[in-house]
Amino acid sequence: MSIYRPIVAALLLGASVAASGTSIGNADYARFAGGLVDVVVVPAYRRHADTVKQLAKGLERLCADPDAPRLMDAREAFRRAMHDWQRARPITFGPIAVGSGPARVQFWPDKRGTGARQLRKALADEDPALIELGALATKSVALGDLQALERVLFEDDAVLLQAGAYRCRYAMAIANYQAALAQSLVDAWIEEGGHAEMVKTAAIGNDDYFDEKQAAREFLKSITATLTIIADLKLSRPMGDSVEHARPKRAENWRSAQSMDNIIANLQTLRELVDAQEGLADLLARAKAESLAEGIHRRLDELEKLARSLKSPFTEAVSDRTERQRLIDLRVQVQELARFTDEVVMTELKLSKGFNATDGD
Amino acid sequence: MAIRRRDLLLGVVAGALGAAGTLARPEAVSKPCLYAGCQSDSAGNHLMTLFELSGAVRARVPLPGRGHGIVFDTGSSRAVVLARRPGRFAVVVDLVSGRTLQSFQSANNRHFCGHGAFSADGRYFYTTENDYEAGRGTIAIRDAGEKFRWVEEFSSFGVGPHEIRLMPDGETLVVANGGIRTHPDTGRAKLNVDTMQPSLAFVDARNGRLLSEARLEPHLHKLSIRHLDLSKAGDTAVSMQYQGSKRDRVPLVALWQREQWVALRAPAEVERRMRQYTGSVVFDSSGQYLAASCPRGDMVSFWETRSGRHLGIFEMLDGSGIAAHPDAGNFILTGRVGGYTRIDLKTGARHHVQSPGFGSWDNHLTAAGNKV
Repeated sequence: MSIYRPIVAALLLGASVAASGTSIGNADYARFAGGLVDVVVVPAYRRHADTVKQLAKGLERLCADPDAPRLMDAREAFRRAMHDWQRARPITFGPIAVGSGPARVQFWPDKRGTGARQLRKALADEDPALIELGALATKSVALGDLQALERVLFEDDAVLLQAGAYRCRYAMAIANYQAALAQSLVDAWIEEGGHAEMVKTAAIGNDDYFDEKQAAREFLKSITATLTIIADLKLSRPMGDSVEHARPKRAENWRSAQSMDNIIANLQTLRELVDAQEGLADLLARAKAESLAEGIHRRLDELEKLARSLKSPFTEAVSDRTERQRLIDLRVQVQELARFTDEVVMTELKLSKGFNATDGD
Repeated sequence: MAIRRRDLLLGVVAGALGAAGTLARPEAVSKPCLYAGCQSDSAGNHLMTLFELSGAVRARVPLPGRGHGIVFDTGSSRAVVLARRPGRFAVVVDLVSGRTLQSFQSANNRHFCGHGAFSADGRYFYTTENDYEAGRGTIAIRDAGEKFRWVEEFSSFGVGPHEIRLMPDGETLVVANGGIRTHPDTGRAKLNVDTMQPSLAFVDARNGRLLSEARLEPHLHKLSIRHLDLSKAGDTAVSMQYQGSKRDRVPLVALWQREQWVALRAPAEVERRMRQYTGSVVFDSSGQYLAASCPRGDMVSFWETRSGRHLGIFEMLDGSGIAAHPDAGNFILTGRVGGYTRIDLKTGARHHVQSPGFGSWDNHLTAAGNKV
């Protein structure tokens, strides 16, 4: 069209992202994103779906014939399911991001206690319609998520152990709903036209991706988002500003004593994203930036060491001066790795996103 | 700084190409004119910066968080800076002294959406707010004469309201209802993409009555209407962000003119570069030209309003803030680096004015006119 003449003005505004001599191309981004889907993402969602199914079966056994050992088994099954969810939680894009997002699996933190209120009311009302098959899918996320299940399963042993208790059947309904949801997440990744295919065909542009760079960027964003959540929500909120202001009940999954295990599970997945074949370390190597990969490794090692160095349960550690210092160190290191990934690694890989490109502004 | 000029340019005014030249530097400023935008640095400091066309910084005002829109009171030297959503702070600044006069907060269970407007007489201040528990948009009214005391609340007649302006008649508010439901508990997650219904609502500023509304065709219901500008003639320009397939080709900028939508399209390669996302949208001082920023495409895009003709793009990293210059066909643009760029669409001339840098410019730039 002749009347269209683009203004191709290259004012020297690009100085801050001047070429740094990297040599990666679109094929490298594609290999990175596609590889991680197969090696890290899909297996994580599959594991999660399997353990939630086991949890549902455990609850079925408990409700059919309640006794203390079965309750203990069910609680162990919950811990495994939560662990595997925390392994999948770092993936912030794809099917999990739809609708209410990860809150469908775990509505946390519940800063205003709305979920707790709704749940209390549901347990008091004992509405049989709420625990019918499929009913929870249409209700508030706080009535059918893993946090609700934890509350139902780790309080009121006596009620849970009564034959035919609504509380137990409600726990079973949540687990069944979560099992169906977890399976639907797996399917939404692997089915024909599913999200795995979207990531792998990003290069030609599709409904979800403009190009392969955008797909690759999602993984980096997942890493920084996970670290930010660990620092701000999982550590800072329960720690408060001082020992006196520690709020142990703000810790994630304190009822099932999973707070620190959750963090460790998140970090395990971050390590997988780095170390997997064609993962972040390989991408950095292709960009001739091995030193950055080493920087990430060093920081991850340090993080895991600190996370495992806690001698007491998380809820006690926040109020113990010695243990608390370990948590403070951990938080500093987590923030440092988040900054390093966001500013240094993403810039090196030319995956930085514009300051003003966030949706909705 | 050396300025490379090639493929000049638009040919909007016949013969202008030959006469194209860079503007005199430093710019000869005939009319005093102030501009303001929010900025952030990597250390997490947030400011509002007020600068003159010469590049001189008049004031830097610290903010408690990331700011978004800035609203000038045309009858006084006040301006209000609003928090980026889902923030809750607003800071009132005196533009002469550069001092903060007061701060106020969004109502309980509401957060600001980053934009506001003064009434014609400067007495009332309107803000778009999100009633997030109910998932409905509101317009809060505060008495600017009484320390911005909250007075009452109207409906915005939509979900996820964003930019709001007072029409030239001085009595009608126009609100861009983006249509997207969000809740602070789930951050910026979009909760209703499949059912969203964006709209442009025209609301009586005196009583909150819905006077009229502009909706999009059903198949375009995922086009979130977020920003708007008004021409003196009363036309409304909107910039939009598309939540549907990355492959769809949809208009992202449009005019609401005499009760009808006029889509402003661009060549396919330009629309692809926009990545379904436009930011600020601004008329020039004459209303003949329109600029829309495309921060995902690192460019600003220009149209002629009467013909709807796409004039071209200007490459700018994180190009986001746009304000009209007093001269017709001239815009002031801000992006990732400090300082600003002035572009004259009639001649193709443009130049960058550096000013002592302070981090990235935020989404919007606002012209204070010559009242200060």
